[in-house]
Amino acid sequence: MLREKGAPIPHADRLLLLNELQPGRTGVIVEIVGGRGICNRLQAMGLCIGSRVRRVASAIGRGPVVVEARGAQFAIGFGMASRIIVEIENGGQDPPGRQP
Amino acid sequence: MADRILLVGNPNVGKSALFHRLTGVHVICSNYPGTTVEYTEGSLNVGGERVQVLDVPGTYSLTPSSKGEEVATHMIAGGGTIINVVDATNIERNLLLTLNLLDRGLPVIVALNMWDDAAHRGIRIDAAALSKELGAPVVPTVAVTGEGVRELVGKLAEAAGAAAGRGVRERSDGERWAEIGRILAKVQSLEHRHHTFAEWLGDLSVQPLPAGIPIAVVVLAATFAVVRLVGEGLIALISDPFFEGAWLPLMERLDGAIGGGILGDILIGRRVDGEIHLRESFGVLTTGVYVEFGMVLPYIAAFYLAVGALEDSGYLPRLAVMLDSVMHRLGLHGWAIIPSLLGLGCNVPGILATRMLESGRERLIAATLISTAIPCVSLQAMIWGLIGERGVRCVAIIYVSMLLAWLVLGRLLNLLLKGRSPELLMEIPPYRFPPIRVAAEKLAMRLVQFVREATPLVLGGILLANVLMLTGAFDLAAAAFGPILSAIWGLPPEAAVPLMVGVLRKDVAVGMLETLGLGDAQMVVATVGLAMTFPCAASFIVMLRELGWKGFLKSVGIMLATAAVAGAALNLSLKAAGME
Repeated sequence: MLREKGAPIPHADRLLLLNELQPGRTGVIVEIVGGRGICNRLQAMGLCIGSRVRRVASAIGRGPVVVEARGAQFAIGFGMASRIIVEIENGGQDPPGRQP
Repeated sequence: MADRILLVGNPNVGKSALFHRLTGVHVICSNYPGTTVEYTEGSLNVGGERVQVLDVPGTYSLTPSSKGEEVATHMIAGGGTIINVVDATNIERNLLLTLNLLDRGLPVIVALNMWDDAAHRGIRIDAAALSKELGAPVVPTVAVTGEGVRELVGKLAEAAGAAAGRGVRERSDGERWAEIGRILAKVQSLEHRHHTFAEWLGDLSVQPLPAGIPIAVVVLAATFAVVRLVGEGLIALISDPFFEGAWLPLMERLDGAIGGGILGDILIGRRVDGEIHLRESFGVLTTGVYVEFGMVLPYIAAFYLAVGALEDSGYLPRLAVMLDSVMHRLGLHGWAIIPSLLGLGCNVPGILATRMLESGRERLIAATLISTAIPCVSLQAMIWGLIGERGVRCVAIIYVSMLLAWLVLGRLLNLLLKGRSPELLMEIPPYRFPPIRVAAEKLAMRLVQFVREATPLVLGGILLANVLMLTGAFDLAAAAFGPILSAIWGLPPEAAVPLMVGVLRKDVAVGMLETLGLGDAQMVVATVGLAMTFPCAASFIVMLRELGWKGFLKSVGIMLATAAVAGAALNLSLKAAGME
């Protein structure tokens, strides 16, 4: 773990799982919860911590999440997407009352 | 000059197109990541010296995550000058592999491919500055037209010297990404521009609702319709007039010259109502030639015309996104729809394409599903041509049975085999529309390949069937396997023989079944059984190679069990429904 148990998560109100990101919105990957294999594969495609990703399309049910990163589009399986944590960028559309 | 050249790059950047330009060797190029799963060899003349050129499967990194990528890393380790093919429309993502190659101290020359497309998209890259930043020669190219290829070859020799100047570097991918950001700021400028129609369509077709799923349904239905219409059209307008008008009279004359006997039986076959019958006489030159060129070839042309358009446009990865959820229920993920679709043409490339799947479990499921429940276009051509004459109902029952078998078997395998299906992770390429000439060349190459590979098998299959019939081996086979067939599938004992010939070619086997005078229900059961049991010898060999002995035996066991159960169930339900 990156922080002590019980310590507040910085910007917790701005963190989402990639599959929760709304279409059209952009976020920055802050953590990938998974083994080395998955991290390496994502990293090789340019999806690593610090990458900006824009959600392109919504999905039905547990369908794949389509995002744009580094000028290319990727389809990421729902399960894999739900292990990628993004911090949404302040586009002025954040839910009211949750500003840091 | 090194003794060999490797074409290395991310998936779907045009390595195969460049390979064709360099060597003149035809290879299949499509617009989806993972078209090339095996390497292809060719040679190039550099300064009077013949150099081996290898088209390497695409890879994102030098740490492989699929069998195709394993092939790539293995080949890179084998040495040689590397032409690193980079998609100029997206150098940011591509440069990670470039830096990985450079850091290893390998002799690399960068081909900035799709240069024309990048210019259209308002992407300006300073190739000289990029070359300076990377410390390796960089040449802009357009592989589909051949632009820049001569210059690329001219600069090949500079790669080794540049590598010696750079040396080896140790750094993490994170550091490399930072370096890429720095390089891009210096060499690339983007012009702001509006969304193009292709991009708008791209976004629309990847969003399931309201447009993505309807688009997928329309595309699949249109593909099927095109294959049917074009296939039937070619038969009605070209192949039937030729065979009825020219070939048949020629055969009558030939038969007169031969004057019967064993040679006549084998070459011309038996007469039906006193006349030579293109479908039923079953001679090597009558039915053999007619089945391959008159019935199957038109559908092969129609199929690869339609599927070629799907491959080249870049729609297939979007279809994979739409079908991902369905495929997960079968233990696969969306990408597996691509090998399955290719399998509808011929099981061999379909099974080969399963290499792009990540796990052994997925490859086993996908290959088993393809060889069991996906009929190849040669078989389908015979189903439409011969069984279609018995009415649409029979054809529909066969298709529905195969589809059900595919779904049920996939579901069962997913439940029974240990492990879970991995997640989809796939790049979605932009829509592209290649020049008609390139598409036509690809179609021509596939037709030539079909004729070359199928002709000996079709003619040999009919020859073998005739020899077996003359020597009485048929009766032996019918006596041995017939009772089982009668018991479980309700077929006459003679049906054992076509099922055995099916190991050579399925299309020939359907033709033989048709000569047995079966009822509709029996014909449907026999065809489904034929489609599901042994795939033809060519697919058998590929399965063995791809799955290894253990996986192969498992797969064949599953296939036989499925065929037995499905045939029996179909037989019982058709009887219950009162079909004769």
